[in-house]
Amino acid sequence: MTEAIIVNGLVASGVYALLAIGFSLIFGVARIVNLAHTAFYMLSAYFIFTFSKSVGVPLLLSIALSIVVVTIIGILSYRLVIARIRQHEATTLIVTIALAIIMQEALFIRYGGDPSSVPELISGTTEILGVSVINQKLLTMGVVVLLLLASWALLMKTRLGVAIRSTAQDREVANLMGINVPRIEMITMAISVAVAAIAGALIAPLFVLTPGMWTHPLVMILAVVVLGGLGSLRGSLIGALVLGFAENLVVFLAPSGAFLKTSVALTIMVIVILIKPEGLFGITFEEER
Amino acid sequence: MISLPVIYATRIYQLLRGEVLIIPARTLILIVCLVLLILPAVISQPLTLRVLIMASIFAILAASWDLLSGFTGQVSFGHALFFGVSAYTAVLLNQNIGLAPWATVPIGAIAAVVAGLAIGVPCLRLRGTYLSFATLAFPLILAGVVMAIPSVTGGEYGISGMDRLSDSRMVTYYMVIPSMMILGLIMWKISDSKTGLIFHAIREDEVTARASGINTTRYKLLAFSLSGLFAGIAGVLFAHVMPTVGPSVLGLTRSFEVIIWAVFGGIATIYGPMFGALLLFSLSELVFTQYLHVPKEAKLLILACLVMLILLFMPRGLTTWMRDKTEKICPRCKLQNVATRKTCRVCTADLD
Amino acid sequence: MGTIRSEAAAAITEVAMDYETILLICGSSETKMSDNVEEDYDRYKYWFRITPVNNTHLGALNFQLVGLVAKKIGAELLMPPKLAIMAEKASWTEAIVGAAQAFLPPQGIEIVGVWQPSDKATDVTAELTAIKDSGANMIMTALSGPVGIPYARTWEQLEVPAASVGINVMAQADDFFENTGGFGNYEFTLNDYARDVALSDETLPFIDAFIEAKGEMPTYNAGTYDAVYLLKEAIEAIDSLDADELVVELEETDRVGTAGRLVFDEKHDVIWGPGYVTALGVQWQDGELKGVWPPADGSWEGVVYPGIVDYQLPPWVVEFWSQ
Repeated sequence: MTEAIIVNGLVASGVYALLAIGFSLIFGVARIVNLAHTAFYMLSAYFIFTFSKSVGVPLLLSIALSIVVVTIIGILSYRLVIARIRQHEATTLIVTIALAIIMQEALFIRYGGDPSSVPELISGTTEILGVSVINQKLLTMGVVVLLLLASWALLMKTRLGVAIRSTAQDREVANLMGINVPRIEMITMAISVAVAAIAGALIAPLFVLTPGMWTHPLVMILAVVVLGGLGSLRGSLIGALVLGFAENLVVFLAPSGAFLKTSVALTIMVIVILIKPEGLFGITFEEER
Repeated sequence: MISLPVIYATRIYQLLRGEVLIIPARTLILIVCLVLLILPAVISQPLTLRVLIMASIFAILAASWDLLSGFTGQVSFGHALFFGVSAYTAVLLNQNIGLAPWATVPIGAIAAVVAGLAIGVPCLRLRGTYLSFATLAFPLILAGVVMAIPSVTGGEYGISGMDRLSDSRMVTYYMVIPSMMILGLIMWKISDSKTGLIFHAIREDEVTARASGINTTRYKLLAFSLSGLFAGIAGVLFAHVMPTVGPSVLGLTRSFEVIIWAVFGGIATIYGPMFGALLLFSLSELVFTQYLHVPKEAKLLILACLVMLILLFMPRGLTTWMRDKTEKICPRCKLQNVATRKTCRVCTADLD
Repeated sequence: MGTIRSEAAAAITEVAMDYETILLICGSSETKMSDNVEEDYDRYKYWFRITPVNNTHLGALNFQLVGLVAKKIGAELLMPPKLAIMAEKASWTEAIVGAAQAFLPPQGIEIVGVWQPSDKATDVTAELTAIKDSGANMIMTALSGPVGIPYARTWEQLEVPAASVGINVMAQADDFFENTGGFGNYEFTLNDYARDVALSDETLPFIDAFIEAKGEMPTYNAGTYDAVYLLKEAIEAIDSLDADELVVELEETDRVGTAGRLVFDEKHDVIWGPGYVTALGVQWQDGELKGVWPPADGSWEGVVYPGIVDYQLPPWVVEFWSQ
């Protein structure tokens, strides 16, 4: 059973990490709490579904198409909506929720409420330590690692990365140093949405597609990023590990309490941040005056 | 010799002329209140009354969120906790011990205050976004507990068959609507008092507030308890009106809805969130379906678009925007004046 | 008429009873609602249930299906049945799980564990991995929510060596196969209709007309169709819209509808049993939903419907246990 817990825990953590990275990135850089983040993930999954099933485009091409389209929608909603009201914190929250609900309802009108599935990129299972793991999940794990390495390289090794990091540290000073802050923030938003869209391609085949599929992952990634510390990519990864393992432990150790797995994960999150109020690896921001 | 009623009547008249009719926003509130009070005489359709009763209960809830989150800046993502705790307290007391609504309302409200303190104390350590996300977790955790003990809570089916506030819908209406107005007035008075000022100070700059000798911890806890109190009353009323209580009272939708109503109406005003709740709830449940015949699939979509558009143009909310357009604050005595005035109505200072 | 989720049905019931309006429940199996009729007849007498049969009956039905699979496992795999229970956490599954734990072990069916995910869970890999480890060769399901889709998909993907039987509402829908992305073959669930099975003379014409209109098979909620005619006939019979008179007329109902013979018990609940509404056990076989229970040999109270085929064990289950 230990092997099953380890393998399944790792896989679940990978899923949460993938969703949390993008959310954490845009928060860290632009202080935008984008509650529509998982709605972009949902949108991407539905686009893949539409392109591959209804239009008949090959799967890989529909994934590429969907990532592009969702990223464009993300940029548009940033330019036309979020950027205009972002200095009002509460309003940003509501507007991003409204965006998510608009996507949800549009999908509901178009596809109805019945659950459906996206085809997997690779099928079959692999035995690891005697535990069968669905190949798609292994792929997800691989992409999570790649994405983490890529974002580390982007942030640490490129000029853009330096600009992003300096914007994250101090908007005003970065602006004074000649960095085009609004542009940097828009690029970050684009990256963040693109990562959500990639997540849609990878994770959606593991779950079911319903127009309400964005809420549960949203709660989970909020817990993940808070647990790990807001704005810290390393923290998001650790947070995802903690919650992914917590959920799987509940299912394996208390089968008749499996429905409580989310509650238990959230309780752990609450306990951790009560002990360490800025999360495990949180960046403490100067209070803005 | 002038009789007492005449003195009171004159006082009320003066108050109306001097403090209410002089400012458009307050006149509007008065009109909304009057319309709500005489509406059943014109439209006695049961659905209309039911929707307005519900809308009023949610108006109390939205205002209680504002008291905590709008004023002190402790943005709560889990306001459903207070609502749910009191609703379940009420339903359990009513069904198991047979307590009547006059007893369940205060007890339910106290339960919500306890819940407010229970999460307020640990959350003192948390700031900003961390606080918001942590509060989000509490009602969801409790919903898990509700599902885990179905013998007590009825699981996902909930508990039904509570005593109603009254057998007549009309009587219920005239119990809930005035309660909403009175509670709203109380909350507005609190926010307008010294306490309210301190709440404001905590939101704007907690460090400075503390440096000025304010025990911010105590005031933050006070905000949590007061907010819990009013949200609790709303929860009990909801339970008695429905009259079923299920885990959806603790759901994510309930927590988010409150914030949507409040921000849409305009936070840190008390009347803004109340107006937001009344308007949005009756729009979606009554106007869209009954009068405009919007297909029910499109209802939420239109509502979300509406909220987004309004907030794009009025980022601080509907009533705040209207207030800024119609009112000027006197630079000397800080009183509100109609935007058309050149000088302050009290101290005659120049307004521009 | 309505409605599907028990929590919503309860709320609607209260409103309808306030207005003394006839309410024909189509979609919720909660027994607490029919208990209301018995406890407070004057208030709740306007309430009737058309479909599905209530939780107690669902439990009994489930045992019939479990028994069928257990027999098959004994005959083909030559081993005693070991059962894992996969029930969403909900009040309607409580009676079923409780009854299973009480009655199945004495009948020689060992229960290895009970897994209770949320009805909206999107991933049950951990649960199914644990079941795989538990040595079970049967899974009894009680799933009404969307969780039925990831369950059936992961069940086949992981090739869990246990035959799945019970209630999976998602598997009753015609587009189940499409929704799971082509997985879930051999899933066995309770249902009210199956394409070629005539429960009464009305069944097949109704199914044909329904498919023509909607392009898919009716599920258990299609009992609403019977409910409409039931109400129409009752209103015509007494030539009045008076709710109290209608209650008296409806209580006398004995009507053959698309799902079988509909009679109400004293709690205004549809009666289940031989000669009444019986429901069906249906299995996905090569992408088609086939009726497999009551068995064609008439071994259940002699009830035989035309169009029933044999139940099949999933090949990976057979393969796993014959090694």
